[in-house]
Order: sequence, then structure tokens, then C-alpha cells
Amino acid sequence: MDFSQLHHLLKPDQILTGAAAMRGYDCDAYTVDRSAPAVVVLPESTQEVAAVVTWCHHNKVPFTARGAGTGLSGGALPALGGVVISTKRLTKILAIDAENHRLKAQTGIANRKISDEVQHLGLHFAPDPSSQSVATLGGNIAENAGGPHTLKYGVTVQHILGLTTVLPNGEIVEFGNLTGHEPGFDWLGILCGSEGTLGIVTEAWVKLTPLPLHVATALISFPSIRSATECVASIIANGVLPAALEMMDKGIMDAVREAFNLQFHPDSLALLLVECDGAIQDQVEAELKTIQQVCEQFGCIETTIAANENERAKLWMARKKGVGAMGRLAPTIVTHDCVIPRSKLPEMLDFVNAVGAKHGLGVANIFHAGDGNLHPFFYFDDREPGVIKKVVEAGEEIIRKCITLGGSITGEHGVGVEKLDAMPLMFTPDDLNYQFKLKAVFDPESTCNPCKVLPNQKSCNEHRQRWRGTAW
Amino acid sequence: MVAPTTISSLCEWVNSNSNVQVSCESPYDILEQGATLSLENLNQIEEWRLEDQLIKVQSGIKLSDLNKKLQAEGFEIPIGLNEADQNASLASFLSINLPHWNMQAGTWRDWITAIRFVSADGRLIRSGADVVKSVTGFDLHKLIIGSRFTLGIPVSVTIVVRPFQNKPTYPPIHADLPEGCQLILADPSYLKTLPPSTIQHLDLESKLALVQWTGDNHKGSVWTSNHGIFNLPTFPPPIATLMHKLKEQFDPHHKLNPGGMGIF
Repeated sequence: MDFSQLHHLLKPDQILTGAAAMRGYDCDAYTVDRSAPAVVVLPESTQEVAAVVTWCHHNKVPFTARGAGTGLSGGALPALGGVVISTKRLTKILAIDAENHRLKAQTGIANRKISDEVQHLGLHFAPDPSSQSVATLGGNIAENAGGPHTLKYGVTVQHILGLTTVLPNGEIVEFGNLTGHEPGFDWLGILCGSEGTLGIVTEAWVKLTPLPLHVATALISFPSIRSATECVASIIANGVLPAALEMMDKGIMDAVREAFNLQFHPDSLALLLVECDGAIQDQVEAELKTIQQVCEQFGCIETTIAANENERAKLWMARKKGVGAMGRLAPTIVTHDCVIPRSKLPEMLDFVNAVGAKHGLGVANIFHAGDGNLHPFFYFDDREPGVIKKVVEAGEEIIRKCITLGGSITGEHGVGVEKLDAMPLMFTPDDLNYQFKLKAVFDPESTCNPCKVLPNQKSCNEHRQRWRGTAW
Repeated sequence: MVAPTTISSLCEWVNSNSNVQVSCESPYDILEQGATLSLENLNQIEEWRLEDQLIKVQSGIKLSDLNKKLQAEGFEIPIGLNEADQNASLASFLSINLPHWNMQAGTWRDWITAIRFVSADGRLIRSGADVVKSVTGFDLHKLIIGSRFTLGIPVSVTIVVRPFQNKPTYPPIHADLPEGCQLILADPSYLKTLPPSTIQHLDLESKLALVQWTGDNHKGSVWTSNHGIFNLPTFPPPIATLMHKLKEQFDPHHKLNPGGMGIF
């Protein structure tokens, strides 16, 4: 294929073809699988994205959209090579409508930047994935991202009003409307979470949420993982809905203690970070009080309540920086992502630790306990022969257990390429057939981010050995 | 009209019939005439997990029955309901994704985590997961909600529920009706009596949101009022094209609620 034709569509500095660039775009934050693109483009407008996609469509060239590359399932991996369409230069805020609590932006903008821009108006963009300082709005939409405050505020789709999308044939289509109630079929609901396989979203109207007037935050220590996890289900069953309910285990505590000199109760083996918020202070405090009472029933050993914003930030530090601190434990970490009913957390955590021990892998857990959304981290040295295989096998065991417990194989990271094999475990052939039918509506040529989400796509299996071969 | 008592018998019936027109005991349903299928006997609570704030029910259940069960345990459906709506079935609300005036509550699409639906060829298809959060595969259940039974018939639905709140008493207002919107516009002080969630989508300067909520009513379209006849020009051509393509994939023989979306 003659990719030099792209020079007719974009400026020279918008096209990357060097070996270094190819290496930089051959995977996202899921580094087990790798596949290099033929070319990387950096469009600056919807029209430029449409021009590139139209070219790909006419030439049957696969293309893959990429935001900041923070995805954890290989969703931005250019599985069949082709063109990577980076949203790195699609970072403009196009409109702020404070009165109606909405904002329009290009989708390469970082999630955090949106909230920073409207903070002075007393507003924010509620989805807050842990990578929000770099993760892009487009990536959030593709993965229907959540975050610590998902428990109360919901996931990305609940904060999207409209999407400008380039379909796989290059056509530009506007989905949704500004009222938040789209008549007819729910295209927003389908596009959010479709992992960039149905089109490329270039601009979005998002809802802005008022910042809570009152916030109460507490870090609660438990003597065991089991007591903490049992407590989570009981908090929810008591009819309390905190804004955030996060959990960290000893592995994370060790990492942040070493990295940031944070100190915890010496007998603590698990931490719950709880945040309640709302418009009425008494109500917020009453909620936290109820949670404290439940925690006491489950034997918590220490509760620290933030007295001000600085103390609140300090309590959040272990959660916000826990993943980064994992680098202190081993050269490589792989994060998993699955969801189970909250009531199954105790059983699942026991299982995760047993799987790590069985495969000789270090395990730490930092996750959205209130949602039942687990993130087991395996930490290891990837220079050790055969260790990647063990990591993959351990991950598969965890996925199977999640399904057995009535859960889902991914809560917010997506299927990508990582979990293709797990899809038939969760869905029947008939279920998957209907998902293929949807894909066919948008992308009959299968050029838009191919080999993702749906297993056994045409011409993907042979290539798959190649991706894996690079890591094994 | 048939009223199957099991999901499997419904699947068999759909597979063997060419005109599957659903009646769902709803004040909003415009397709009662000529209905061939009732979901009223599929009204069971399949699973109720208090500690997960999830309930799985069959779609023929009446909302009043569902709320009674939930409120006994201190929970409720997040979508507010008018008194008249309590006698409607869950399926009727899902079919049109009927919103509530309190926009902060979102729509049904925001609170359904999984649906099992019967396809045009009588298969039971699952989409989503019975947990509060999932991004596994395409969310076909989002398409089913609001599709007026033209893509599939939802039979089992998993709903996120919320702790019951004694809500403050606000004046009744229905922003999807012309009178309600005129009331707002005539007396801006009225807005102060409403929860912020209601007014956040009303663009007072341009009346954009109001126009979108009410304009179609004035024109006789049904997208906001849920009555009447749907018109294809409501959709931009690219959206209509996608709708047609999807219908061809899901129901190529047009047996599910023929005429239901007004464009098939």
C-alpha cells in the first residue's frame, strides 16, 4: 500500500513513519501484545479524521484510533497494522455552556483538563478514571470509563449528550442531542464502550455536574481483607450510597509506604477509602456515621476522617498513587479488570491471592470495592523466562472465576485483544452473533479497529499469533 | 392474543409467527390495536440482591408491584414515576424509554445493566451483565430500550435500584407537555421551586431544550409525547440509514412490531 498518498490529506508534520514512532505506537498500556502500524497520523479536526478514514475505506486499509495510550486491554493496538489515528492534536474545548451545565470538546483532550476548565464555575466532569490527568475524553468514551466516583455518579455514557463521529466509511454523523434524551435507537449507548470499533468519535458534548457542596472522607483500616470486603457489601445493603468506596490491600500499602512514606496502622491488612458528598452537610455526615458504625461491626481498627481539603487529598494519596507506586515492587505490572457482585468480594479476593501464589506471582489489589470492580495487579520481572505465560494463565483463571460468580470480564478497561478468548465464556454463540450483526451495520469491511471486542474475526486469528509472539 | 407464561414458550411462539405485535398494558402504547402478544404473565421477580442494589425481573411486571417489593426493603427504582404510570408494565416503559421530568435521574437506559431479549427468530439473546458495571461487548440492551419492540422483545431485565429517599415535594410539572413548559417560561420564579436537576437541561436564553422537549408535540410528532405516529423526517438521513440497516440485521422479515418505529 502506498501510504505516501496521505501526504495529500495532511501536513508533513502530521504523519509519522519512522521506526521509533512505530515502536511507540505498537501497544497501549497493555504491553503483552504488540503490533506496529504502517503509519501514524495526527489530525487536528473532524474533517481531517474523515479524510484519512475515507482514504482507508477506499483502500481497505485497517485503522485504529488512539488517545493517550493508557488503555489496559490492548484496545489501541493496531492489530492488523495499517493507520493509527492519534487524537493527540484534537484537544480544543469548543464551547462551554455553564448555564446549561454542558461543554463541547474535541476528544483528544485529557479528562482532567475538562474539570480544570470549569472548576471556577463550580462544575466538573464526573467520570474520573485514575489515569485522568492524561487519559483522553475519546478514550473514556471508547471504554465507557468509570473511576472511583462511579458508584454514585455513574460511568461515562451517563455524562455524554452528543457525539460527532466519523463512521468507518468516512461519513461524519452527529449522534445524540442536548436534552439528554435521544429519541429512537440509543446510539450514544452503543458508541460509548464500543472500544473504537464502530467509528471514531472526534467531538463530544458532555454534561457538567455541580461540585458537591459538602464532602466527608475517611480512611478506615481493617485487620483482614475478609473483614473489609464483607463490610463493603453490608454498607450497600444498609441503604447507604457513598460517592466512593475504594479498597486497597497490604501489597498496595507496602508500595505507597515505600514510595511516599505513608504510614498506616501496623495491624492493618486492608484499607477502605470512603467518601460521602451532597448538598446538605448533616446528611453527608450522617451517611459517614452510618458507614463508620457498619465498619465497627466488622472489626475495623482505625478510622481517620479528613478535617479539611488538604487532609482529604492526603487520604486519597494512597489510592491515587497506589498504581504508580507498584513500580517499587517489581519492574513490570499487569492490571486485570473484572466485576463481580459485591457480595462475592470476600470469596473472590481469597481466590485472587491463591492464584498469585500458585503461579509464583506477586499480587496487590486496589479497586472500586463499591462497584465490585476488581483490579488485581500481578507484579513480576518480565525478563524471567516464561513469566508472561504465567501472568496470562493467572489472568484467565481470574476471569473464569468472575464469570462463575455471576460477574463480568471487564468493568472499565474493555475487552480489547486481551479478553477476546473470554467472550465466549460469557456469551453464547447466539449472543455473539447479534453483536456481530451490530458491527456489520457500522463496519461491514471490518477495517475500523479490527480484531477487538468480538472473538474469531476474519483474518485476525493468524495475526494474533504474531502479536503474542513478540512477548512470548 | 397470546400471553405466554414462560420465556421458552414465548421464544417458540415468536419463532413460529410472522406478526409479533406486543401489547404491554401501557397508557402510552399506541399499538394496542392488532396486538398479538401480551407479556402480562411474564411478571416474576427472578433475583433480588439487596447487597448489590440489583433486581432482576421479568419485563411484564407491573411497576406498582415492583416498587412495593422494593420499598418494603428500603429501596426504589431510580426513575420517578407518576401515579398513573404505576399500573403500566416495565416493558412498556422500556419500549419507549419514557423519561421522567427529573432529568437527574436519567432515563431507563442509565439504570438497566442487562437485558435478555427474544429475537425475531425466537432466540433468547443476552446483553450486558448482572452487575452494576460492565463494558463487556456491545451494549445491545441499550438499543433494545426505546426501540418499541422492533429489534427484540425484552423479557428479563436487570435494574440498578437505589435507597428509598423521602423526596422533597415539588410542584408537579411535566416538561414534555406544552402546558408545563409554558408554565416555566411564564414565571421564571417557578424555576426556584424545582430541583436543579430539572432545570439544568433547559436553555432559558435560546429555549433550545424546551423546543426539543415540546416542539415535536406542537407539530404532532410523538417522540416526546409518546403518542401518535412517528415520522421518518425526525431523524437526519444518516441516522435513519443506520436504523434501517440495524433493522435489516435484527429483523430482516419485519415481523417484530411492524410499523412500530414509524420508519420500517
